[in-house]
Amino acid sequence: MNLPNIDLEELKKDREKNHAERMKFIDMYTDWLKKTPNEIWSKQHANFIDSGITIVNSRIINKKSEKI
Amino acid sequence: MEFSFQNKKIILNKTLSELDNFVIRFTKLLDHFNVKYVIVSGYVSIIFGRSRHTEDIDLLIEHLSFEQFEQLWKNVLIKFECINTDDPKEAYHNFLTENVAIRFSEKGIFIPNIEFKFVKTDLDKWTLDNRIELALSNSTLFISPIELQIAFKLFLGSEKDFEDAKHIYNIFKDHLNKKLFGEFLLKLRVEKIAKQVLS
Repeated sequence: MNLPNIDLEELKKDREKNHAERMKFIDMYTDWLKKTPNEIWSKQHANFIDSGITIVNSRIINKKSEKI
Repeated sequence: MEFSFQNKKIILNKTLSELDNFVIRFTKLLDHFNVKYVIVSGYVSIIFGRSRHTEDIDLLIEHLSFEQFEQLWKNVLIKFECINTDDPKEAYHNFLTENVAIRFSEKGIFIPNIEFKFVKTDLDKWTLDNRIELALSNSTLFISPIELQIAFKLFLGSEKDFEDAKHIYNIFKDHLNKKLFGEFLLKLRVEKIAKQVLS
């Protein structure tokens, strides 16, 4: 199998850029949170958090069903 | 986001997620049996709006005798199950007193789960003694002091931890005890990384 050429320096730059973008996102997101009423941000946030729990547990339940 | 933060007490009224309700259902049992605990995990940042999922909620618990633990165990197992073992003696002697956490989830639901361990270090004990009361809608939780939470996340050092630290810092930066925060940055040797991540 032919493996691709890997430019580690380029990957490191991309990683740093990605990190900086993530940090910038957190600044933007927390700015929005701080100026948004609790009833609005927390409803959106609860939907997001609950969707993750539902997805994970439905996967576990499906795997159990497959074994049975 | 509207909240108040005074005298080691935060008041936050918000729409609770299922994760919040799960934690409240568990910690109410601890409160009922007068077991002192403090939440120390990334869940602290999630309560305050951090947009990420988590599979576990880390709780530090005051040291209990086996009799105290067994009484709590019997009542916890009415609605929860222990992922590690179904034997309270094993949970206590082979896990908790050996400084290994046990995990509780609601019956038949693997995730999320509570990571339950006794305080061990001086830092653990300080965290428990200086826990912050969080009045969360109609319930009460106890969380790690915010200054320590941020500094410790910087110490842990993964990308996720840095993001958690920045999130909590941004939310609480006008409410922090600057002296205490500075001391924890110094003690955990994370002053340099704090400047990079939090600025």
